[in-house]
Amino acid sequence: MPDERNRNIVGPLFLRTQSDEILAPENVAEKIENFEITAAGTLRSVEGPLPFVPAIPPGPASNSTTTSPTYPSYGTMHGIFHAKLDGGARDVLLVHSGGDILEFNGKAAGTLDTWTTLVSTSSGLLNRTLQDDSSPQFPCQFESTPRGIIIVPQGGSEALMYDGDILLPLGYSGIPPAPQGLGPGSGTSNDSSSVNNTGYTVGYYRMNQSDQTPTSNLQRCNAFGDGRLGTLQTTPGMIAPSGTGGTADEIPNAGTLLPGSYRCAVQWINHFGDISAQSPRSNPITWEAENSDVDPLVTTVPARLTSVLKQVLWNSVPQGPDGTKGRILSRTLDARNAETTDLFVLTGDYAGSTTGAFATIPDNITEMWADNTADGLLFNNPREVLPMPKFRLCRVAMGRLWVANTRSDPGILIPSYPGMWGTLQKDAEIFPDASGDEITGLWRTSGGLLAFTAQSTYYIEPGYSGDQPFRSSTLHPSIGCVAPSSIAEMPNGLIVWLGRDGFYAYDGEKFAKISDAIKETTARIIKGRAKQATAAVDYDKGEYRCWVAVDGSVVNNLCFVFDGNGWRQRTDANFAGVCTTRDHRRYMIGCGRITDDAGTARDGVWLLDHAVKSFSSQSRESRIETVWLAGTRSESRKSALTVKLWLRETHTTGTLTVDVYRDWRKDSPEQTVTFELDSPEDKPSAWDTALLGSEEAYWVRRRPFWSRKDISIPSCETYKLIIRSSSPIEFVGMSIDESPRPNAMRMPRG
Amino acid sequence: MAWKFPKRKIESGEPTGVEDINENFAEYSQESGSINEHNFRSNAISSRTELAATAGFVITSASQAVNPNIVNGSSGPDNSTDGNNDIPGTTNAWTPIDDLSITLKTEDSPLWVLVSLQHFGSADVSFAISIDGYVLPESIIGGVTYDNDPDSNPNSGESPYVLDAVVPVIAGTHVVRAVVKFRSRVFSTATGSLNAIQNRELIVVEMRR
Repeated sequence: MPDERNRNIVGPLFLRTQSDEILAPENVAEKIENFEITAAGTLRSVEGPLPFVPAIPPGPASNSTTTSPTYPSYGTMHGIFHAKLDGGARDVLLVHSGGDILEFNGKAAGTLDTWTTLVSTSSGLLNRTLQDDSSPQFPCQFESTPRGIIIVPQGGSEALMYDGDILLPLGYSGIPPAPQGLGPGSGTSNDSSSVNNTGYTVGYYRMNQSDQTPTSNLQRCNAFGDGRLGTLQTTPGMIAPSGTGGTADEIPNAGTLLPGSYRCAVQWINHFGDISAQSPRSNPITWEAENSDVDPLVTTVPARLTSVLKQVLWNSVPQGPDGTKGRILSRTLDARNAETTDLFVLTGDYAGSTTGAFATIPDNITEMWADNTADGLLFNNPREVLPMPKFRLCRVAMGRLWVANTRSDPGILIPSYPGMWGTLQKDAEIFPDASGDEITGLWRTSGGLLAFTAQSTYYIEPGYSGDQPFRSSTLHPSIGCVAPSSIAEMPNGLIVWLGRDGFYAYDGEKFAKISDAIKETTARIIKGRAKQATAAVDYDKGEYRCWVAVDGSVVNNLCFVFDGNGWRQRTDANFAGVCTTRDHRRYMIGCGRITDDAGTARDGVWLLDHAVKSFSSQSRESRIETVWLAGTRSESRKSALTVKLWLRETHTTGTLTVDVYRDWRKDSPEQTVTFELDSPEDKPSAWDTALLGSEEAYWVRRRPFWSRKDISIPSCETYKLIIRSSSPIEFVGMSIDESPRPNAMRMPRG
Repeated sequence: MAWKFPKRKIESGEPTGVEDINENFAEYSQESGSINEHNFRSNAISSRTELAATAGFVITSASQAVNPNIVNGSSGPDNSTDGNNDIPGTTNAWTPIDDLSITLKTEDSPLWVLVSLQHFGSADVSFAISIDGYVLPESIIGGVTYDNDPDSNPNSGESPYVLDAVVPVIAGTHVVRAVVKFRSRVFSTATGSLNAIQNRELIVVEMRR
């Protein structure tokens, strides 16, 4: 008769995380695959995923031409993003599918008209050719701003901005050509009489003259009044020259217009309020000295000194590319007399009453602008703007957009002006790494921005002076990030990312390598494809999930799950991009490839952890693999006698399988036993079997139960159990009964 | 927000668990009271015919921009290069101006109709506002009170004009237009192709309260 005193109970073991270490404690698994932690604290098989756009079912009503479900057509996926616009009133889901950027627009019954093409080679709102191949690269980058979503396709394409209605290139990559200045010295065949002495004439339509023929100098400024440009020098005591018949009295207000010079430059401004770089300055408009308009023969008339001031014309003001809604003109002061050659923004009218207007010329049609704005009415310098480069990474932080990793300078980091997400500030660029190493990740954090290279981490924060608006300091010299889309922030504020040799975390104070326990698994990550890793956080479960390519795969085929305590892994999806919706649903939506139950691999957009009747993915196992139990006690032999599983009932007919291995050998199981997924002694009501209204039909709160199976692993050093099932299971814990050396046989050691 | 999905796919043989089925119901019950435009497919509603009961003003507009082609010092403006010019021809009947027509559904309320346009050319023309095909005499610029108002004669080279009228309408669909015609007394000498209506805009403000 067995003597229970001769038994050791190992457990109960509540396996929730995994470890690759031989010396890992027994309450840690070697692998936990395709499980999620429930609100009750158990491990439950993951559900789904399901196609975010359901198929049109076959049938005469909706899909009479096919006998199988019809899905929208997708290309190879490169990224996905969700954001809310218009103050949260509108949500936008974007995917980079093949060579296209698509926007989800809902679905009408019986149609596949679900996606609006924003960008494609020939049929989008914007026609661009985007890179579409499987070469290792960062996933398409997205960033949300209050004005719209910034889209950064990889492969050398320009960045775009989309506000739900308008899609434009982000900012301006080009520089406007200089306008042409026309003034008194710009003679043309249409110049007439003395008009051109006071301003430029434009064909028949003279700017500064009424249609009547001037009869004297005093009448030459009838249409628009006097000019306002130029520098005057009064000449007190001017006397009419002798011999002219004058009275030789002093002429009031006499004076001279000094030689003058003006130049102008232009900037475009677009729908999003972004400004281009400054154009080159125009040709100078110049004039020579000119006396006031005193007729020396009539000295009783006071001089009108201001009548010799000029107005000028800025012509050939360049029209901007699509999306431009205005032009901002900036002009020098009188360069021959002023103390500065700086440019000043010209307001929309001479009085400066439209200082707050968005542009000098609030359209993109007009090519000329008559300038009669006095120097004293110019206040504001134009913004110094860098042309928008092609870049790979961006992130909003400190009220600005930071772009990094440009094609010409992989190590550069450039801020935009605050709130002007596509207007890059000149002379504020930073190279966080002194040697210009490529920036491979950006993430905003308290008061600043984290900038990663593959081997270091830097912190960008506001500088102390205008000469140095931002400064960079090294946070960690040997921990970096290799995948920009692997960076995510967990609900507790912990920032997690993929580094060169595993996953790291930063809590705002210190760095930690958090994947030491799964070194062997992370070593399977294809180093050359680590940059394409993509991650998101499931806020409901508090899980960081990162998809990477392992074991020679071209696509991301394994998901690492970190719950703040340890790791699990999932194989239910191959995602090229993943996001969590920024609304109350908090859905985790990924784009990539799923194989359905018929074995058909489908590219598409998928919702994780949800399931529908109309779609089943390929059968997959949920698997818990224990560490080598008794591994730390392997010097003394023992026999494993009984496996007891603590499960919650999940199925009245399904089963799970436990494979038992011994002595560090995992080639074939020593023994396999099968467990039922409910308690045979007290079966619950089940769908399709419980009869409505009968005594056996009742709602249940699925109960935990213990189930035990005898195994026989005699006189082993160590043993391992693999619990696996293709049916949904819910695992609470397990224990094993051991007997220390129950038989007297001499077993070979070593 | 639309696009919710059940959490669990409940299969035959699974326990009749309250948690699982409640999780599925919760996906939908969470949306109660939150139905908004996202619950409708984009463009599912082709036009909005009803406004909030509290709407005070409904503003509708139509416009056309024209490049006047004023070339530095040498030529322009002209009406020959921009297809958006409206060249009214040589008729002396009231003719709708291209792009300045609005069809709208109103309540019993006054409409404030505003038209602004640029006229290029030397012929005598008249402009007016038309509602449901009826030209409002009080809106006509050019001609009706010419003797008393010579400055209203739109025959100078290039001039901007503004018309407006407040007209009560009954509930229903109405067509508001800006119209133009040559004045018959100079029709024989007018060269229609030299006349054009360039930048122009029509705004209709329905004043509901």
